[in-house]
Amino acid sequence: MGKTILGVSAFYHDSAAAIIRDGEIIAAAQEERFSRRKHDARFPARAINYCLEQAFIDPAELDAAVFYDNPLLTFDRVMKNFVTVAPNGREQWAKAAGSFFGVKIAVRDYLKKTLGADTKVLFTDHHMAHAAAAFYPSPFTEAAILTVDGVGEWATMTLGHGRDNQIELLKEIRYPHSLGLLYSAMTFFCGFKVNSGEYKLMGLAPYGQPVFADRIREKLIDIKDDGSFRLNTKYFGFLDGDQMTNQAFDDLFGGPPRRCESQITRREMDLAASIQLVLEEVMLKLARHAKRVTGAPNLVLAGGVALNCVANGKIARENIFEQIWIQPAAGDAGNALGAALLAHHQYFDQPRRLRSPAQDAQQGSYLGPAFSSAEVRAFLDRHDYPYARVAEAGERARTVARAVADGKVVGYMVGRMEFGPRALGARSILGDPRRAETQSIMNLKIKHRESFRPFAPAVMAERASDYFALDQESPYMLLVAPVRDERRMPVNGNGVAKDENLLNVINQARSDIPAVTHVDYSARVQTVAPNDKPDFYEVLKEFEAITGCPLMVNTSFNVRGEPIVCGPQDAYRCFMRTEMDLLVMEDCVLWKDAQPEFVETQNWKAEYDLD
Amino acid sequence: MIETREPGPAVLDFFDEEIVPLAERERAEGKWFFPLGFDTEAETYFLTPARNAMAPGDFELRAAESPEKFVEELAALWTREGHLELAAMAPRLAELAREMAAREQPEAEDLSPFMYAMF
Repeated sequence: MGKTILGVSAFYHDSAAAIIRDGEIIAAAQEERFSRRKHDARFPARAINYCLEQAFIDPAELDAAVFYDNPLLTFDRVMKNFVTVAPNGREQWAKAAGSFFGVKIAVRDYLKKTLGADTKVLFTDHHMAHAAAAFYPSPFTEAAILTVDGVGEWATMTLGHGRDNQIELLKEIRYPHSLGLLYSAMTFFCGFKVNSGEYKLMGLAPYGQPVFADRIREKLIDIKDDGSFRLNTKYFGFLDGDQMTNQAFDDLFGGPPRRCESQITRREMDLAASIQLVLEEVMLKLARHAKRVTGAPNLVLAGGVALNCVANGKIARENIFEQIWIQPAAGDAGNALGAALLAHHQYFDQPRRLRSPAQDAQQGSYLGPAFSSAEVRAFLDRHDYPYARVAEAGERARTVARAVADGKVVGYMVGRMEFGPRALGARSILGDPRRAETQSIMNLKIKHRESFRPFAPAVMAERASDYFALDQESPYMLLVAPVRDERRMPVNGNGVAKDENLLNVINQARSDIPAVTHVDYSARVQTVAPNDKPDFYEVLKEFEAITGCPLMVNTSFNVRGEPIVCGPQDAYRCFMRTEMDLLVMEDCVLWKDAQPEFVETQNWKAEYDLD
Repeated sequence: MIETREPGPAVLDFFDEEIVPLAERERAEGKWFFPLGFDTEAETYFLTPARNAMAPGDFELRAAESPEKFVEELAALWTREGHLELAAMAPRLAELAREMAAREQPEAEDLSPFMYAMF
């Protein structure tokens, strides 16, 4: 009988649990989806319970529980950091010590208390877990591995080689020299939240010009030809302060950080463009060096920086490797999965059993809980919420497709929840990409604010190349590709927001799919093949039949500042808090017009932080 | 949300009485635990990982058995590395660990929007 192993990540950000049996992923989920606290870093008791239920396993039957980080080595870094910066950092030391001696060294106790069993508890190195999360679920027998994040114990970046069931890390860069921390510093400086706003900085980049790139290379980061790098720590506050940048950084870029939610100016647009260019330069150099060092045909990526899908798209288009694969839960949540897989192959020395050559083992990343029709109906009936049961899948798909074609906004909760930050058609909000007003309408209806970022498309896989310059599948929405030339339309100013009014720019139609086309004509694409998620594919197919367009807007099913919805209660609540028109939960279809008044007992807008 | 235990005065005393003096001594001797800036002469900044694969024994972390074992293993690590001054702090760190373990669990803190969660 195969080994059943639980993997856990916790205590920093994005706690998660994952469970595997005989090397196959049974379940994985982030704690935030259950607790409803965004980026929940607490011990993921709920996610663990879900994983055990999904595996039909009693905790006593686990072969091991594996934690994704080595707290001894992490504290070593913490200690040496504070000895380096003292007498500065006194307050931060107090917080760090409290955190370590409070919870971070008590992982074993937390696990034993949650599991109620004397399970074997193991620990992995942080970047080893990232490497495992990147390599083992990939479809490759051999690959170069790049893991790039803020920091693990000491490593902030590793270059490795995976072959069969073995992973070997060959090179690393250590704290405080971190591409992830550099990008997070700029995220903070441009007025977005650290740990969650990095993708907004990426989305802002096309509005600017990289006029600060040389200054960044000269003062902030030294990049060698092999892609290795060091930061100049005199410009950063993260070693000894409570924010990422410091006065020296302010002086370098002409003033203090932008305050959150204030007007985005030309400076931030240009900084975003500049740091994005520098990050891409590093990632491309690292990819080329990984090819030289390993000679491997393929590349796998993980670590939070691997969520930068613009950089990923550029690596793919450079054709340095035959194929690239990115762990969909590339951040620390995915390390729960990586830790379990690493233990399976390296601790228990189990072989790797690949699926057909073209198929990865991530199962579409649909690894979270599903809710049956009976469960959904029980919830709706209990509250007397009106719905229609549309049992026939084709009719449901047509209902959704017609609604979207009519300009309606549809909440779609079907099947197992996604693992990772992207909605992939299981917990999605869908809209019509053809209408120029969709981007602003959907943002106002759902997020209650306008946005400078376009939405992302989900497209029938076989039609993707009709719309995008993308020559590989992108089922996890981790690659940005250009919209094809023949679909583009000229716009005023070519995307540059001369008057700093980004909304004037984003609202200009620049292709025949304007809602998903960014100002630089790029799109963050999800390709959907028939077997990836049949119900979602069917929706796209019906939309194509009605409109001729094989793609839809696919954005995450949540209000601003809350985690993506998990179950029917979350979905209904989000539906009623927004101006979505239609909600589909399994085979239950709900129209907004028919719903009773939704009485809120809490001030949810205050409860959920602004993005 | 990161759970922490409220640090008592002992934690700050440790900083003032152990960390600060060591920091000053290290700086006076021109020693650093890690480089803080560029090295324009270097051809590469890549380092070789301390271990490039995890053997089965590497997964079993004795330091996780108890706070005392944690500090004991820290001291052993620092001794192996030749950082004897750090290792000398171990007894006081062990006291801190015991004191923190005995405290009540406070309310969880929110994730900071200004700082990457890494300590």
